[in-house]
Amino acid sequence: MARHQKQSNDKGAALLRTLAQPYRRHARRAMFSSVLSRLLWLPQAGALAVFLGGLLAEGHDTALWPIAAFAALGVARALLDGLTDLEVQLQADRVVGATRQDRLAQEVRRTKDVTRPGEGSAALAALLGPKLDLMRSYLTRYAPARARVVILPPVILLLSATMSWAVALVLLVAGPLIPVFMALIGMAARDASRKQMDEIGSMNDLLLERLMALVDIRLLGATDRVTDGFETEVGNLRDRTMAVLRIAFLSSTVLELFAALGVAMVAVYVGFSLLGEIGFGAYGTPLSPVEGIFLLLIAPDYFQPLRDLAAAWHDRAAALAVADELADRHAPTEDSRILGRGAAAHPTDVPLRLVTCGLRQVLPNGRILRFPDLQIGAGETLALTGVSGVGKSTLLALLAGLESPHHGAIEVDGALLDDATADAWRARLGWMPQFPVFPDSPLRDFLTGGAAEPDRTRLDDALRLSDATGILKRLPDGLDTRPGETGGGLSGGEARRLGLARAFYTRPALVLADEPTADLDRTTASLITESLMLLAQSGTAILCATHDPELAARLDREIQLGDAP
Amino acid sequence: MSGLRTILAAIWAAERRMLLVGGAATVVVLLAGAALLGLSGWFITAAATAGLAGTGAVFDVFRPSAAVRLLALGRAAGRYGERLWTHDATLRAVSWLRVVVLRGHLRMPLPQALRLRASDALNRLTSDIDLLDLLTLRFVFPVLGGAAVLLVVGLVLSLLTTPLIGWGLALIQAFGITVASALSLKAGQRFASRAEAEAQILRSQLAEILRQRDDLAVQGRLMDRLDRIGHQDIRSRRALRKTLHRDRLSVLVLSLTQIAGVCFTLAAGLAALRAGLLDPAHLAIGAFTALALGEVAAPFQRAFADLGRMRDATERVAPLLAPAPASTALPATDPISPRPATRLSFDRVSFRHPGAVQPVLTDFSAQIAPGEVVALQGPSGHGKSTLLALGAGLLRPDRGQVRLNDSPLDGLDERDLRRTVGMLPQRSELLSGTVLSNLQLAAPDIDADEAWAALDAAGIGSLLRGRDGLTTRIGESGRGLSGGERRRIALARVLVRKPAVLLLDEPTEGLNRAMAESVLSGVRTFLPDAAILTASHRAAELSWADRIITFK
Repeated sequence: MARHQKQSNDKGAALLRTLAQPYRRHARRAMFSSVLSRLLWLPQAGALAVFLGGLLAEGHDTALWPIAAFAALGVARALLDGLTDLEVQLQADRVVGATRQDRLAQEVRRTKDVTRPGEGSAALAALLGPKLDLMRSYLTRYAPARARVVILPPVILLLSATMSWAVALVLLVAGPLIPVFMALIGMAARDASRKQMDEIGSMNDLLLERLMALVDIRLLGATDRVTDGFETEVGNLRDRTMAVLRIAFLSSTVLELFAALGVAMVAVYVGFSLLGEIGFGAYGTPLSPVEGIFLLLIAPDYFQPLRDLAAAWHDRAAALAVADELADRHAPTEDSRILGRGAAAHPTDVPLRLVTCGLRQVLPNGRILRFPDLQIGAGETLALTGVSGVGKSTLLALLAGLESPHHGAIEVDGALLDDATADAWRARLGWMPQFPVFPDSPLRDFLTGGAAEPDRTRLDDALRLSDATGILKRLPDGLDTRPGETGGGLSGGEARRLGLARAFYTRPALVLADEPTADLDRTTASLITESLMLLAQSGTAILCATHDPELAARLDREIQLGDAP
Repeated sequence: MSGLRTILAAIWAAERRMLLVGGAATVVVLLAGAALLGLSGWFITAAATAGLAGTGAVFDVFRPSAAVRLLALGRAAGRYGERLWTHDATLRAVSWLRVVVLRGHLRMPLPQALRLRASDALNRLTSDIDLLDLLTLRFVFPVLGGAAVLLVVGLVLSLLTTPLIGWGLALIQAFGITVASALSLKAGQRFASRAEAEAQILRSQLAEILRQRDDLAVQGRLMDRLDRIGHQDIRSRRALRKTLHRDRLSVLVLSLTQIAGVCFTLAAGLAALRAGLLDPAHLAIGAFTALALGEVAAPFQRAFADLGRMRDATERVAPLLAPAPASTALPATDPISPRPATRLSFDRVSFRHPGAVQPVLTDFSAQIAPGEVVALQGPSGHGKSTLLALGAGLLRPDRGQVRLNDSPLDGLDERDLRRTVGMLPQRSELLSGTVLSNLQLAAPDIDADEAWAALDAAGIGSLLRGRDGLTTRIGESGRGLSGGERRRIALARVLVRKPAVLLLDEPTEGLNRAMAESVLSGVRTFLPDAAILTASHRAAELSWADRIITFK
């Protein structure tokens, strides 16, 4: 398990590096300015130390230039920090933007996996949307922090060592102990959280579940019982979360403790040696006040990079989780992507002719689907029947060029259906999926295929022929209604009638319909069948995948899948 | 701001003690940090003074050095306490908020509740609440704690050094923080809300192109859509970059403030030194403390940058805050007793969905007698489900009356109504837990025999006996069960309440004919005297009914 975790993290980390590679210019500049800003603290602290030392040695006649130097260096550091932030944000912005574009272009051409219908577009949209943005914090916080950890502690250690080996010793001992203890406690925290957090889910899940069941709860008269139960559950969840946090916070406390003790020991040592109570620790001459104040000022910065890195640690974990998910989605191959680009194209105007030959398709789970050869000409109607899972939907997708054939060929209008011809072929098609999906835009767009100036008479005809006029009358905003997602207030039958209306409006040469009458009551199913026949009479060829014997009987031919050689 | 104020006031009223503890811990930790640096600076400078003057032997080293160590340890330990307490207070506030939101929803008028099922509204709500989780941790504690620390530091420094240094430093910091916060707040209002809105559009466009890929490809609109998303992504990123530019400016202001504070302290200190009001060691206290104040100021920027978004969220969530129940008149246990036989009647009922042009029901009348099964048949969208919702009081008729025996539905209180009328809606959700916990939701005092009787009537008993019986686990939104199994458990959950009127919307969806028939006869046997109204297009249900009403 641990090894598996590690491997997958390596994969994610490698991908993160690859994604950031083209924009490493920004990262390099950011690391440089970030380290430089921290290094400039050394002369800035020196200026303050010289000023305070001067007050001690020369009284109030001391020079004022150190104040000016302190201020100038401070302004320079503030500007450098701004520059660092600018560069890391630019890099993060470009990495996220480019990754989103590339991955989206890839994913929209990927063939749907019929063996895993549950794997939804919602999860993918979440990955390419908000989840990708999680990589920003990693790029902006973690990477510069790591550069600082590599450079600053050694520099400060060496600088301290030139003035006092005792101070250097304190830092040397306190520094490396920090990661060791943090790792130990971090592991304990991970175990604790894995044991507890995994199974309990989040407060949001608990709330969401109850809000989804709102109507049931009301109908069952369970309002108060549910509220009380929820209060208890949320309380328990809070207690368990606190139990995990109690351990998790120990890790950063250890870091604070060592940092604070390190600085305190440096302060005490410096104080004693300035008093002359301690004679060891420096080289020959005792520590001067300027050196002492300087050492005290730079000691916290020895620990600061480690604290920054620790604070950015969970950014890294979040980014790696996203990168892992991305790494698991390989680019679609020739066999697993749609044909053509899905761009607008002019339909050919020769008479419709579709011929398939020796089609075979290998499903992701290894099963092989074989399809009988078929031919369709203009105005013909054909039923595809056969038990569930025999490949009816896959065949429709193949005919629309939404899958590429693994074996065999499809000939459309006298040419092979391939990347070059697919877009023009699809311009002749009407597509009626079993569950029409509605865009979050006015119904008018759905019905007219997004035409800029829809033809009102044609639209009215289309609605009448598909018996959908009444549906629009019932909808609050008529053609301006935005049904959204799965059809909002529309029933399954209504959604399909609107799908039909779209086919009537766009008048395709061939309609591919998947189960147009499934799950409908007899009356509605007959209405749909009649509308399809009307469409056929107007010259459109129709191919229906269906279980419905009444619909199949009305079509010219029936081809049963599943008993092909 | 009123939403923000309402929510803050409500959180304060609910979790006052933990907020005070968390706030006190924040102040103590910040003060300890400033004191540690100030004391160390004084200690070293004073020691150097004594060393130079040759009076090191009489200098009291032990108390200051012990205080330095104590402060260092105390600060680390205090930080741990602060983290725990502020998180505890935050968790309390957020769990309280969720309870209140749930309660508010459970009291919402039902038509409104029905509309809320759309997942978009729910996602919006949860992301709003998530944002409000940060309200205490990112805003309340750092801002109030930071302000308190500035006051204390100003006071203490004016006593230890000179009033000019103490209050001058506090004023410079307060001024810088105000400018930076104002910049962040403005950026938050102008750009962050915009960035959030653009990102929201991008998210829905992403979801849409992936969901509608097939449609778009067949229509030849896939490439157009990709381009559009590309442009939206650029817009959304540009808005974010603008926000970040402003934030950067605000961070710069804070850094410059810190430098100005130190330089002011040094200059004012030098003047005081020349006037003989101050010695170098006390000047060091001022200078080192001024350095430490950066830690106090930094969280302000973050707090105000998020305030714009938080405020938008509070405006949406605040109206949901329902007052806690005024009386606990409703008993937690609600024994199920057999209800007297009841007749359900619709008397010239009309109903039009809000915004729709045509009414879905006009002057509809019907009566369902006790012991009778009536099926509603007709094309989808012609009012079957609406009629059931009217019968259950989920909707109110525009005209006409729905009656139980002779009393109008409007006159009944919710509790009596729910005890008499049971309804299985078309989409019924189970809660995660066990089969028994779901049945207890409907009937808290149910015993095992009653539970099994209802489960057997719903045709799911034998299947559950083969698993873990009443303790069979149900995952989130029914995970672990098939659609048909979920449906039958939901049916059993309605049956255990032994309603006198039973309304069923497609009760046997997802079951084969034989199973459907056995479930329906089980329901009849279980509730022999109930008036049953079922909406359905399946033959099994139509043949089960004593009477069929056809909608056209």
